[in-house]
Amino acid sequence: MILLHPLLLYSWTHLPLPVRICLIISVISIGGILFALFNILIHRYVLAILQRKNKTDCDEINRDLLAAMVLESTGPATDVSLFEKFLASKRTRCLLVGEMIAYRNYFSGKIATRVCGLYLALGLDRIARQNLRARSWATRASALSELFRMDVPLDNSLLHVFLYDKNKYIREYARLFLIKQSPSDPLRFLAEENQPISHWEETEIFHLFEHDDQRKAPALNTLLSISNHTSLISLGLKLAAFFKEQEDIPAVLALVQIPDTRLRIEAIRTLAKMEAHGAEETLVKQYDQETPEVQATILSTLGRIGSAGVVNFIERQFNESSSFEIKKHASDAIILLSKYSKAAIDRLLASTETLNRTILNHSLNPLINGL
Amino acid sequence: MKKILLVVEDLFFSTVLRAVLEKEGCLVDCAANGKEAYACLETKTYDLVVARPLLTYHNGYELLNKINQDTELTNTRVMMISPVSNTESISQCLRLGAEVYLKWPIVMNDFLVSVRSLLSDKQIAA
Repeated sequence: MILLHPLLLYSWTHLPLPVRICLIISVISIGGILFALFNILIHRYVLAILQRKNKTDCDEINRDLLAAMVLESTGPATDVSLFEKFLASKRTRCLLVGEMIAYRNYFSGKIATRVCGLYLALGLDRIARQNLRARSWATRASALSELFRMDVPLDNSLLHVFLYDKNKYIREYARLFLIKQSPSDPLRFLAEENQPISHWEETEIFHLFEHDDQRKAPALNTLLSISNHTSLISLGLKLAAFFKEQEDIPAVLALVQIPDTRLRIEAIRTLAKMEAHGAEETLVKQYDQETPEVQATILSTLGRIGSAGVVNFIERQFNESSSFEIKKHASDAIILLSKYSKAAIDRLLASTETLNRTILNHSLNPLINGL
Repeated sequence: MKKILLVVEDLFFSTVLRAVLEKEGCLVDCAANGKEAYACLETKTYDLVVARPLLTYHNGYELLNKINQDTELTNTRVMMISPVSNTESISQCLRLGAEVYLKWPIVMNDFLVSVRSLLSDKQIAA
């Protein structure tokens, strides 16, 4: 009413144009700020209410799941009707699935099987399958993740479609699914696709092999090929170190020549973890052409692989190198080989060079080197 | 009644394990990190400590060291549970005095059998 007062309207029409523009801008700005603040307040209020509701529902779901899945796990089959009330809304359904996935992450054996059984009995897999056809990539990725975590198998032809999806999360889950569903040679398609994999995928793939005792060691020759993407080679090396299969050693040894320094170091370290005794000669030959960083890794690896034949070589590097890092790694390697290098250690300790003696004493001290 | 200290940061995991151990007839205290575990160990004695190697403030290895060095905790036995299953972590825990190392996802039966054997007491129903 005040704004429409005749006097104000009169003065408005007599104001200069720049002043009128400034006034309009000021009113719009103040209005915009008030609107934004009000929106933030409303949003926070709604979020707080939702969190409170989620917490109450989560507690109830947890209580029911704990009673049905863990505490009465020896009784008859789970009473599905107990959980049907949580299917009424999308929010509680998501909470229920989240809690079920948490159970699958922490527990295996009977509890995990019962959780999966309940998931299927409630028809949650059907809803997730429907969500695989959703327009939003987030819904599709979430449905794939849910089915993957709950061990629900999917058709390979569908997964191959997802393998070429525009969204990278969907592609990643499709790859994981295919690996999980291929008991024989699960990594072949990765090498054939030759697409880079993320660190997250690497961890998940590793997790798949690590926690499945039924799964045999995969054939890694196809992954450990120089022509593959570096992320695939890195995954292959980690799996080779984990499974320690002797037939993978030649493929790892071939990677010692790879131009990428980081991968070369990783390959040499893998040889140490695999205790590849046949690798010593190749590593010694390679030593002179290498960068100091790789040389240090070679010395550590020779110490870990451990045979009498390389003691003289390591001792020579310790005496002749001017690099502190090389001396340190050579010294650690000699101590690791103490079964064969007793004479060399005595000889080096008797040497007059203070730095060499100090480095060797540090390597001999288990509180310092942690060998 | 046997007393157990559960040192697990994850509330969900801790709730489930606590419920299972209480059903077994044990008295369970929960600590969410290394600092709380130290405080519990300084005020009470426990028959069994179930801990994760990776904790905030004081990690599981420090906790093992403390239990080893404290003369009042000589009868306390330790079980480690962890998703980390590399041999270094396992051997370090066993070297420092842990008697059982379980990797998760854990099989509840294995967990209970280990707890029962560590406590090896008739009060806990088999």
